[in-house]
Amino acid sequence: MRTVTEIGRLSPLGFAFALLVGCNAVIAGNASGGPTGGGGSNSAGGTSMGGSIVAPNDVPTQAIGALTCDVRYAPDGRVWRLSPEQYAAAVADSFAMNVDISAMPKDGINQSTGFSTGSSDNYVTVGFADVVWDAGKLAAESKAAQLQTQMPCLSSAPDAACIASVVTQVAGRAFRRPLPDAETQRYVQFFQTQSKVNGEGAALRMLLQAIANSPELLYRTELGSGAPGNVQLLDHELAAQLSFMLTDAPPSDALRAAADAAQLSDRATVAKLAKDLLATPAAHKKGDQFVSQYLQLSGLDSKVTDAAVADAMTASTQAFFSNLAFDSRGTFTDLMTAPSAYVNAALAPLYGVAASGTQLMRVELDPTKRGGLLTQLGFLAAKPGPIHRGRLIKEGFLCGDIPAPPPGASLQKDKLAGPDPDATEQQRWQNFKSQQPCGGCHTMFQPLGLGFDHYDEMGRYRDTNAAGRSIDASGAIVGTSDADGSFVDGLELGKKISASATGRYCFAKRYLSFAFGRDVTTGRDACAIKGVGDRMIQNGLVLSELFVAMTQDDSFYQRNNVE
Amino acid sequence: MTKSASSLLRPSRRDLLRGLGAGAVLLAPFARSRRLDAAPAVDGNLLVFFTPNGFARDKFDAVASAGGGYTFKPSLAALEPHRSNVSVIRGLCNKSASTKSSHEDCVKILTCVSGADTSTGYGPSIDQVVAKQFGGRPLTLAVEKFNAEPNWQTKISWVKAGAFEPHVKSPKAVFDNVFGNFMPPTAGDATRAPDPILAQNKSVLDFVRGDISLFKSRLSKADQAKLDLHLDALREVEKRVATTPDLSRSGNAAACALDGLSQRASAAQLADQVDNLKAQGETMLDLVATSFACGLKRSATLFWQPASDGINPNRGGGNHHQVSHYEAPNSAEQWPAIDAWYADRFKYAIEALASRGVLDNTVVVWVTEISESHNQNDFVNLVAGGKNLGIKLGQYLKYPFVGDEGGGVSVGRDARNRSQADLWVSIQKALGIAQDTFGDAEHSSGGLTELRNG
Repeated sequence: MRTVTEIGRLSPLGFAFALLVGCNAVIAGNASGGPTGGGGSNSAGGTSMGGSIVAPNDVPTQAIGALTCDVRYAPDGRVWRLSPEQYAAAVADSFAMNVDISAMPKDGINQSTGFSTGSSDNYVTVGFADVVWDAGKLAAESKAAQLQTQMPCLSSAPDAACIASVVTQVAGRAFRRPLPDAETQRYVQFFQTQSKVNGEGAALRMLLQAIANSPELLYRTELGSGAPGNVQLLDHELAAQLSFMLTDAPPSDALRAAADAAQLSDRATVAKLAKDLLATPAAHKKGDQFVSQYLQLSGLDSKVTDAAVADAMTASTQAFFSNLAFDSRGTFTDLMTAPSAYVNAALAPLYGVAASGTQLMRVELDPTKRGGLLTQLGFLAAKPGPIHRGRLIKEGFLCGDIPAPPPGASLQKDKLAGPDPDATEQQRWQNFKSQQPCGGCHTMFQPLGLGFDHYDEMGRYRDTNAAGRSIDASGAIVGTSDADGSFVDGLELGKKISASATGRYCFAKRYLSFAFGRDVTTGRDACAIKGVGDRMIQNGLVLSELFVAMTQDDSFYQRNNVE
Repeated sequence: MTKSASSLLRPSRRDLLRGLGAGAVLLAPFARSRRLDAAPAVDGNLLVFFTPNGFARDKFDAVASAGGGYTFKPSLAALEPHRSNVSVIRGLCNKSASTKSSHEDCVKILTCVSGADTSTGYGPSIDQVVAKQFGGRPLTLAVEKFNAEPNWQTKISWVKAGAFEPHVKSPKAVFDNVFGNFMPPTAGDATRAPDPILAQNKSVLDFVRGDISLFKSRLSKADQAKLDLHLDALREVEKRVATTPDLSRSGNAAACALDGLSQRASAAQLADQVDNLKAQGETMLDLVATSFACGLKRSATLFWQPASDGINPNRGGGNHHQVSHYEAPNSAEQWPAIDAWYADRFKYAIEALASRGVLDNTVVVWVTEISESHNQNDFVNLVAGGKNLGIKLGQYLKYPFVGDEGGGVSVGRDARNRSQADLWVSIQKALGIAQDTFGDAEHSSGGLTELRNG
């Protein structure tokens, strides 16, 4: 349970409402002494290296829209190590060299957010540092050769001014900000010292290597002036935040120019620049990462034995999202209901359509059988079976919490399977739901997965199970209040999610966690979620409005520097 | 520090070493010694062999034989030629598991430190502890292709609380980083002239360290901790690029031969995922064995597949996890077959080390994510090698297990049940770390004296 210390961050009205509605994560039937709440004395242990998080009680997701937000939460100041992809883009930008990051460890998925973008638990590991070193050596060599042809002053006995101009040019680009003189001189002195020992050529290479390994390149800062307490982010920090957040790349020339001209405290300017970035292929790629991690598509690797099919499923699901988010002003409703798919020869039989070749082509599917992200093959095959499908829907699309199973829960497998080997999943559920200790909590999520029982473990549509019995995909949403109610199948479930405040603000919350790289909660971040969700809702649920809205919130511009 | 529960409930010494039929050693939970070992006389290495989803217990175990010794149950039959170099340990519990005591506790198996977050390790893992003892970092390797990004399912190696060490999944990267700057002793040129590049690299690294210190001074304590890890990583880079290789531990030329290893490490991935798992995994094992033989590394973890997931090497439908939950076709037949497939790989590990003359100086431990059915109790672990380090091999060590296996961590913590931490205590002692506890002090009992004296 989170500690209540920042009540004043929400308006009195909003907080009172939160208290009235209560925590939507309390589960009936969770036995005392059960799996939740263990280790409660370890209050600072939950966020790994990121320190403790103190926040008011969570506001139920569906109640966010009713909040009145007078005071916003300023996230902690932080540094944020570039991801491997961001690092490669930064080196390409400042050294004009493509880095092979295939040997660089991928950033880990943060268990709280479900995304790898978290700033708190990614650091420079040995594997990361190894690649940075090796790439830095190559980058320095190629950049040195390039500079020697471009800068005549480097041809013999370069003076301090010549080296200072190298530093200004290369480090200024690599660090994504102008360098103060003292910082420039530190590099100049390094060159001069090394030049005496190793010669000018080696010293230039070493200088460039030092820049390529600098923490100023490898981390981006959100510290503002660095003063304790609340601060405004600097223009160049805002430029880096905007660019890396939307495209995983360092700021473009236009963005740098706006930062140089101190224009980024103007939110309309930032909104315009954000729209420009969202139109780039790099933004689509970042969207691919979001949807892959949102739906946990990496699970396809072990579940779909044909790698070509697994890869096509991932690409197809990404294309579905990307088209709506970036190409067609698609809406959240489209995301949850649109009956289209991107299909190639590998996927065509699974969708029951005709296609050839490896290229993915858009097709319109039978709207009585397919609709939305949750009927895409990627989700269905990565999460075969009603339990795992239901869990992801409950946690990812309704922002509900599911308590850990009680000890020995897996030994209840026989109860889950039931006595009839030919039973449908619905029949099994009807047998299982009243059985304790599992049935109580499973009621929260297993019926959501049952909604997709018309799709087998590869995502093929079916009317009967393997034993020939008719599928019954009906069920009910519980625990959300506004989205609660019965559905006949997953198609109706998707519509209910898209029409509910719970579903809409939950999607906003999930995207904010991904983009902001921290565990955005419905407590301290409730007003940010509201601001972003409201803008999407007020603009006809258009997804791209949500991405722009992120850049308009106070939490984009302000930080609270802590010890 | 909380008072040790086990110390309050310590059974009497009479419980020690009651017989369990011929050959088996029924081991009391307190067989401990407070005598600390001196550093071992020989250099030692550790290889942790990690597989997911537990095991089908009825076939993944051993049976005591009349007159001593034991026979393997069917899933482990491939190891028969190496029985004298293997001890099978039954009955250990992960007493530091969370209340969930399930898949997620794989993050705590190599650390044995309790903590509230089920997805976080709270202390250094045994592979890190052993590597640090010798002034380095372990090889933390995993086999392509699986989860694109690490998550709790792949986090078993922890540098310290909250900081996991990602696996390196590319054999080529392993080869380049471990052997790239290394010339095996066949060159016969221990008197090689120092390379000026090494000194230049050192100067660059020193400058970068200065940069990091300046940068760090502006940050919160939490972020400073990240920069400390960055500095740790640079020390490893420095060993590779700015230090003359120490050939004193390189063993003999034949053992340290790199013949063909570079080519194998650079080989393309195979289209068939099971063939690929085998080929890549065995290449990783050869890289580990060679790094030990050349004296370049002292500790390694080979992580075969992610917890609660995993390719099905039996190809019979469903993934490994689904098979382990009887959700795949013919799961009852498939699960032991998967276990047997991994036993074959464990055999390969033994032979890779033996062929390079380092098996007797290397302890290999097979550890699984869970035991059976979502729990952290009553494990079956295999230990191979390490004869020169005092490891007693050819034994079936069956510790008593009391309670319901699926009863969670409270059952595992019953004072009558033995802690998996004691396995790591014995191993760290074998490698010269004179500590009677590993991880949570209250869950260690001085080590498994039956596995190693002391």
